Amino acid sequence: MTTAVTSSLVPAILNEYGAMTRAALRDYLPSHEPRRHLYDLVADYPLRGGKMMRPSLCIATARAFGARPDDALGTAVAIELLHNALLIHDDIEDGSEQRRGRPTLHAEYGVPLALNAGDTLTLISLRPLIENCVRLGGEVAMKIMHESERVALESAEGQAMELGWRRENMIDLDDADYLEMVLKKTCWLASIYPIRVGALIGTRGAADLDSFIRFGFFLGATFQIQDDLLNLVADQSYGKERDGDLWEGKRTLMLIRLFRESSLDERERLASILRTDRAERTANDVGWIRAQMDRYGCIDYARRYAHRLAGAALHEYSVAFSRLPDSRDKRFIGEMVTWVVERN
Amino acid sequence: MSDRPRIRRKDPQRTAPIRDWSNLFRAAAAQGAAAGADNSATSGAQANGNSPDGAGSASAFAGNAAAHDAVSEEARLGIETAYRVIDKHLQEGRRAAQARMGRDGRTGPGGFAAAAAASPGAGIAQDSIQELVAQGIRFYSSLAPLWSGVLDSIANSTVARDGARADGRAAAPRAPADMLRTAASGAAAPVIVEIASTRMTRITVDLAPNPGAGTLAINGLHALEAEKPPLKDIAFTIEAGSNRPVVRLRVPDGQPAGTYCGVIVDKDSGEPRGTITLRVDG
Repeated sequence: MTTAVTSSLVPAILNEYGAMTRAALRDYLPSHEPRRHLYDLVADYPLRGGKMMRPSLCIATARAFGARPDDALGTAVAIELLHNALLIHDDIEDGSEQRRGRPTLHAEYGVPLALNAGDTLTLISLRPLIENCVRLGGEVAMKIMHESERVALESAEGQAMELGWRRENMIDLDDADYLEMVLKKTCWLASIYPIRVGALIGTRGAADLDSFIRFGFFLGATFQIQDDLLNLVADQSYGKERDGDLWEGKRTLMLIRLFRESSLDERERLASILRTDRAERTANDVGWIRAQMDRYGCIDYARRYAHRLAGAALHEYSVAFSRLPDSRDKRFIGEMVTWVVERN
Repeated sequence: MSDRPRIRRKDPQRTAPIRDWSNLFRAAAAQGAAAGADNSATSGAQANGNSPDGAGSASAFAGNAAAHDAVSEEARLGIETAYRVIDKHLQEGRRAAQARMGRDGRTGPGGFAAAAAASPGAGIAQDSIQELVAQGIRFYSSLAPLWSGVLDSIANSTVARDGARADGRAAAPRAPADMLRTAASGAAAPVIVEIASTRMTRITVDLAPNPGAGTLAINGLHALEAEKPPLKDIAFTIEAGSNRPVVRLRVPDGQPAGTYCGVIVDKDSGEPRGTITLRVDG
């Protein structure tokens, strides 16, 4: 018999810290003119909601190290704003159609206005970081700024890897390529950066940050593989376009596995489908790829992979957080690992 | 006394539990392996054109065992790949940080984050707060003209770090947070330091921002050298009216020259709130 261990702590803290962040975030969204073509668009994604995993990880880590929630709130807001800014740009670059259950920003307002709103949101995300100078002191604030600079570069590099693969229709990728891309594109912003800056805030800049890279990598990679799986198997509540990754030709672990397992003829057909633009791809093409994934066990393979990475994440968690006393926030960070593989 | 022969056992081969990623999730791995074994057995039967039902129990067992091994191997390879990726990333981060430090003589804006990843805090403590803020202005103003004015105002109003004099009452050198809070809002009060000493001293007070409502306390200042007596005549008070923290310190005439440090704690919670460092010249 299999017993699922579902954490009640994770949803509770995501709600609590998510609500705190959302309330504080509103103060940074301009409400003056020009609203119709700029600030309404800027506020769109942040106000659509979301899991608030990133800001919650930041606040929880800071608290686990002894900081007050308010000390981490500004940074948590900055993380969420930057995340939303990058989502706008990612949606344009990926040609995505849905975000959080609604049409993407560029689908509603067109690419030029959406791009401009994304740029503005990026700039707005700097403001709470600047204000950190006042609350946390210049030294810690500057360290957080440099972490922010790094996460922006890592994310851009990861996105460039993935876009480049699609542009050149790369088919000879392996799992290590995928993990490296995910490390940069997803893990830094989703987990490494929030945990590192949370630790900086909690220790007033004295934390050893290397161990958080390892934990954040395994947590973030587990999260991304599960996200890719949900794109193929989730119901309407998922909030994104079903099979959207196949329509967009994203190089997921499942697709890379499919290339590896396919016969020569099948590889040729797969490469030829992915060579076409999204608009030229048909439902029949996407259906065939999805069926091939089932045939070759690519979904199960990715699911097993995610579970193994989750195991490594728990190990790295025990290393990175072992010296901290038990607390609700510390438990939350550990239970996040189970939550990311069980969420649907 | 019992006349039963004494039982002697060999020493165990391992004396501590083996805890690493490879056996952390044995139960989960076994579960996954079982699932994988089932899948492999089914797909194998389909590939051969045989019904899975036609397989005998012995061959099914052998098939499951082989599949179990395959899945275990898959698990090992998967985790090894992941660790290889992250180790390479960490090494590249360290190399990039070292290269930038070598080129700049210290961490510049571009290399700072990587340096922080490789060696947290390296090169930061030595830099003055003014330099750090100025770096931020240069780098971020190129990205965000919108905020450069705000940054400039913060940097320009930053006060000098040192300034306490041994011979009287003076505003203490401030922790960066307090300096900036004072500069930015004008609301926060600085720490007041009163030192009674016949010799030249230099003091640094590094107090956490918003140190809390509890009273601050310090259990003397101690030198690294055990033979030097600690400075015990030190106290924290709150100045009536202004509510500013005041540090009062007396350096005895016979106090050996050297550097003395102490931790400021919150009396109520026992939590550390900052440090005081005093240098007594000879």
